Amino acid sequence: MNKGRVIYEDEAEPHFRLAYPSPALTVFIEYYFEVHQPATLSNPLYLNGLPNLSNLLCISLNPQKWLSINQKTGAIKTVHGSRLLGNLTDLHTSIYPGGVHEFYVKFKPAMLGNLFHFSNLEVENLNADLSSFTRLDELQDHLQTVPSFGERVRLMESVLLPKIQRVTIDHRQKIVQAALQKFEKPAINRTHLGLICRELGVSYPSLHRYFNETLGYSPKYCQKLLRFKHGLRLYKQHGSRCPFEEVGYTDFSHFLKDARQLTQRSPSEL
Amino acid sequence: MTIVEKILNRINRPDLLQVLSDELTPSELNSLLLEVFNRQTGRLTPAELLQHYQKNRFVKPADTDFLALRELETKLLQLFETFQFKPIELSPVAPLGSCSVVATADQQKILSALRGTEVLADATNALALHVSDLKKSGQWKPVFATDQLRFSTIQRHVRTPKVAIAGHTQHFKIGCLVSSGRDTGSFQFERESLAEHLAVVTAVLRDALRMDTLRFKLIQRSDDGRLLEQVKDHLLQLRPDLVIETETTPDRENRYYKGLQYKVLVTVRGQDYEIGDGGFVDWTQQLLQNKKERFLITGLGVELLFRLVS
Repeated sequence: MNKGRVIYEDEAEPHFRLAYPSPALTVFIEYYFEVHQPATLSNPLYLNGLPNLSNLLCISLNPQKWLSINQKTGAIKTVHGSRLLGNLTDLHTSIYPGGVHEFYVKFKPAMLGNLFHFSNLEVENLNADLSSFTRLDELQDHLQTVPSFGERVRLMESVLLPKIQRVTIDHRQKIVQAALQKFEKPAINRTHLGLICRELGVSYPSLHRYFNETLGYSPKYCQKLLRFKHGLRLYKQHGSRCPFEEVGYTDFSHFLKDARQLTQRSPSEL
Repeated sequence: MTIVEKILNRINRPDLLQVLSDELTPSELNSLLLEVFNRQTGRLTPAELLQHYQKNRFVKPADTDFLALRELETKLLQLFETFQFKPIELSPVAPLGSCSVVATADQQKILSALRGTEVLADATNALALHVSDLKKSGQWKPVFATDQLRFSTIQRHVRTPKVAIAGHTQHFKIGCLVSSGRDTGSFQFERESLAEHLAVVTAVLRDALRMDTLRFKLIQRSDDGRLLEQVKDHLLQLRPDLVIETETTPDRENRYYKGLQYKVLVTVRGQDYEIGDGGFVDWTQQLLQNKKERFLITGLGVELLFRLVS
């Protein structure tokens, strides 16, 4: 049954492009990406967004409307145009009957909030018109007219760089980003939070406080989200026999349990 | 002897029916009937009015949660629009004969009204008129031969036959989708438009309302089975995620649909429901006097759907 699918950064997708930011922006931006996939009314494109910590700027390069369905609450939203997409706590399925052509800036957790002055919790599961947050009309028009993904990245960087240079990052945020980096690329047998705290030189209560103040979630929850993303990628590549222990799961059942808890679906349905 | 004949005999005016229906123009008949109703309501007291309200099965409110149903309707209309089926709100009345002139519908089952109208009994017929008007008046002109007009609506329908099934009412909400196009050969319109209707219904029922038991049944409504075969092959290739059954030798005859009918089936709490119905009709061919016209309709039982999901 077609219930959508998750696209990963490293997928060799003909319709998916990805670029990393210039060094000056790496603290704020994870990467830029663009999805350009045709679809028809009779065979719409279904994509799944996993629960995550990232905030995205989505610049629409295609005037078509699309649907966003929160798979936990059943809430349906018809959307079009450029969007600010908040961090997700629930699985969201997007249905694009007219195809999709969108340019995204994926910000590191909480970093878009630093720029636009909101907390992560305020934009939880948000899918809002970007114009409610910032005036980017001219930029959007400009991005729609430049011919290539590379040029769109350069244009976006030229707009973001002066804004980002005015933002300061405090000590707590730096620690949180460092911890998230360790969650993102877990070393074998080094996934225990106690070990990570020791490596970062903070106590667990301090780390917990920093995470709550910066992201609104506990380190354990954040680790769980990132671990699941990696687990699912492994599952898609190797099936149920892959070494789930490498990303911090006890075994396949543990991964399966997380899938149900976070998405209410089995991994094969994602 | 029919009821009408009995009445004419009692008042000793056996030719009255012929005079009213054949000798008067519709406008004259309308004026006459308006005067008749004017006199009748002039004699009516408020107490009698209440008695009529209590006895009349057409006039009672629906027993649904109004706001919750509205929410569902809004959701559905948004979905329809996302799939480029433009939502429109129709008039509660349609021209007299909207259903019975072009379709195999009995005018007795429709609440005929004055001023050349009838209470809306099937919104897809009203949409066929709207589409035909747009085409005939030149308000819509296709750029390419394969261009289609797509509309959607959710309307309360009134039908006169007394309902026999518990829970059914004389008036009910139906969500409608229509696609209008031209024949370009190889059943292209039929294949594409039906796939689009199925995609919308799938997005509504399976994806938005999580009815995982959704399935479609294609029913052959002509001696020639080529249409069913071609449409089925197209759907299976395009949407392997859909559950599609076929029926080539249906039990009951149906002359309403031309070539192909389809049904939308779901199972809720162990019981099967026919939540939707659709197919190809020749109404726009008749209205526009053009055999190349093609028209696909779908009706979804919104009130039944509301009861099933709430």
